[in-house]
Amino acid sequence: MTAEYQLVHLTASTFYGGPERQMLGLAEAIADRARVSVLSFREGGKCRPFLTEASKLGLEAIELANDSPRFLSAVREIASHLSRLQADALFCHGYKSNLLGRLAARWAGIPAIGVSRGWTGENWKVRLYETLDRLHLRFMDHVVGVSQAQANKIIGCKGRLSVIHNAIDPERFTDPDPRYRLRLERYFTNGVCLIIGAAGRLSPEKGFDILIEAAAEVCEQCPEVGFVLFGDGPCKESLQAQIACRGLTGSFVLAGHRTDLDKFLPVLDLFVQSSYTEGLPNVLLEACAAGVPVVATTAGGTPEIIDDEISGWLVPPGNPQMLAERILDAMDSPQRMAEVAFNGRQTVLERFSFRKQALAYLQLVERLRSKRVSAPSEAV
Amino acid sequence: MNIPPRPVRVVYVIDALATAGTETQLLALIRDLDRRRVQPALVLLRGNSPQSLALEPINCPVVRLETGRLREPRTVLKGWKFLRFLWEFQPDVVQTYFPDSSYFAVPLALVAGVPYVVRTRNNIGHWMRTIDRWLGRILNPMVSATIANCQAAREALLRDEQPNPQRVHVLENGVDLDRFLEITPPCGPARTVGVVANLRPVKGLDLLVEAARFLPGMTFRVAGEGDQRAVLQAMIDRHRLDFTLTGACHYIPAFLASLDIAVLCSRAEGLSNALLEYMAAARPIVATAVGATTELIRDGQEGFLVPPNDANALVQAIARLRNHFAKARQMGLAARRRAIARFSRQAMIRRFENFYTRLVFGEMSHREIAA
Repeated sequence: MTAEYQLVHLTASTFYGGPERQMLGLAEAIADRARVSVLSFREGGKCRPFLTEASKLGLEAIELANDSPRFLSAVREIASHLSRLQADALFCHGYKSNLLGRLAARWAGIPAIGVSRGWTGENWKVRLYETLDRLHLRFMDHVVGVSQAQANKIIGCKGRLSVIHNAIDPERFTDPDPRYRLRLERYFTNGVCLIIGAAGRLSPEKGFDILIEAAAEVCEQCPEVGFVLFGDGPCKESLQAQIACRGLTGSFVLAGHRTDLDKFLPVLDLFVQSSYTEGLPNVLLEACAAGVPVVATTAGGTPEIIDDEISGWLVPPGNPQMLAERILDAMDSPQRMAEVAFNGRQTVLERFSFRKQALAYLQLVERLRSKRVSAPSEAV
Repeated sequence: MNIPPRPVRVVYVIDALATAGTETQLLALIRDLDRRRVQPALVLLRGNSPQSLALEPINCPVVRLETGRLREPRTVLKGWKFLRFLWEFQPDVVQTYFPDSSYFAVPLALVAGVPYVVRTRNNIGHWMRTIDRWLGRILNPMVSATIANCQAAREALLRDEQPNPQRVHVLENGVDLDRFLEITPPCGPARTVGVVANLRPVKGLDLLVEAARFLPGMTFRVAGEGDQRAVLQAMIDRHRLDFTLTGACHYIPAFLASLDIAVLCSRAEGLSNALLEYMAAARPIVATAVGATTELIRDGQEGFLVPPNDANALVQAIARLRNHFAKARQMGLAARRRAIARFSRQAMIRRFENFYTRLVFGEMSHREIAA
């Protein structure tokens, strides 16, 4: 069977994270109608885990030979891949992909679609690139925001902007390993009864310093609570120091980046997200799908996932007191926690399925194609 | 060990369902166990009484064997039915409650090749006949573990049946705290001080009467009955105190709601149920630092701790709570939180889930989890 569409993703993957999972999940969900290939810049070899995962799914995964500063040869290389694959559309993820992908897509004569997931602004260099990216998005053929909040930040793309939410595969959490709860409890030296988890790259925009402040307050009130934070990143040392200085050693654990996070999520009692900025946080979708109640900041697209007091609890970003209060409030009623977790899971199953996302993407590609081919082909 | 990750399948065997303590605990457990970690099934030896039928859980398979007395010949047929069920359900664990279920199910589970057989012993066993003790000793080598719900039950079991101590585990019960969670914490200056305790010397109520002499303007109430009533009443009358011995109390939550300060003045305690109830009801607490109390109350955080046998310390602690009522309210809320975290039904269910996981899959090594 030949597929109706040939779609190509272009990214600069540095690890197998949220956006990468989205691309592969989408590819699986539309496998019956479209063939998907992925291209990634080398990023010093850090793109390999993603490409390996992609080939495991039977996708064509290509590591580009050219990278900055040889922009021209990179564009030429991408364009040659596009015409060889007879691609119908190119999806670009991130500022480098947007810029080079757009040029290559023009060259190959296909639409370039920018997928905008949010800007991290983690340091001045990235902030500069992201500002340029924001200005450049208007030149794309179409832009997809992963949340309404993200779409609102995109300027100059009127009429060529749509919102397609990230999706999640709930199957990942259906049969967890029961041993992981024991494993989780062994992270803590003092016996804890309630375990609160968080996950993400340890960089400033995730607000984990706020989480530690809140944790100090919560543990002060209730020593039976333990916190575990999954992830790695530039702030690891400063966070570790902050934990020690707040006297939380033994009840706030940095567990590092774990490939088996899917197994840990379902055995948490509560999940917390403390970010200052977000697109549509995948990890929140995951926590909800895993059936864990969530306390999160209102940053970015989070309120599009979570209804305050119904499918989770929301707090303003950067406010440790309110975060701590919300956590303590949630803990005060185990019954409410179970209800909220149930509602959260329902929401995610209904509104964030890959099937739904796939249909939206296919409609978009169809629309762009018919616009391009336009009247003559219909007349034939 | 290379066992694929999957939920542990547990079959519970009990005589019949009723509204008594053990049955209620079991039903709460079956209802709320995380099905992704533990899949339960329930086997009832009898269970065709209307009450038992009405109590059957809806979210778990239930088998009624309808055995009569175990000595009757038709028990053999029922045994066959039980075996067939075990072969079909393929449980990892069979857990029995009460003697009859144990005598019936433990040998059959062994015949069916169930890998782990667990007995529960939730009482001190003062009703046990000699034959029960002997039968218990015969059964013990057949079971992989015995669960007691408190240290005292464990010690009684070790004494009566002399099993391998390493196979006897204590899994603390969850208390039904829900009825206490509705109570609002006190606000405004404290007036009423109360205790839930039997009137016995070990509860130290004479110390509280002594303390009451130095706390004019406050009302004292004790819910409970006991031998010491006459002595205490005489002390109260002699000093003309506002101190009422209300007798046995039928509805503790209402009594606790009427208190501004709850006191535990015992000379000795294990894990005091009264203290757990004070905590769940968010009362500001003054408690003696005995037994497990110090594990639950940190002085100045969830309440004030005082040394046992010290009426003077009681006076000072109660006065401090009276004078700082905003702080007292905060302490009450902190106490509620800790009670929920450790002794709610949810906490108990977690303990059971962990117990089965550990029993069936063992502890997981670092290397195993990385693989």
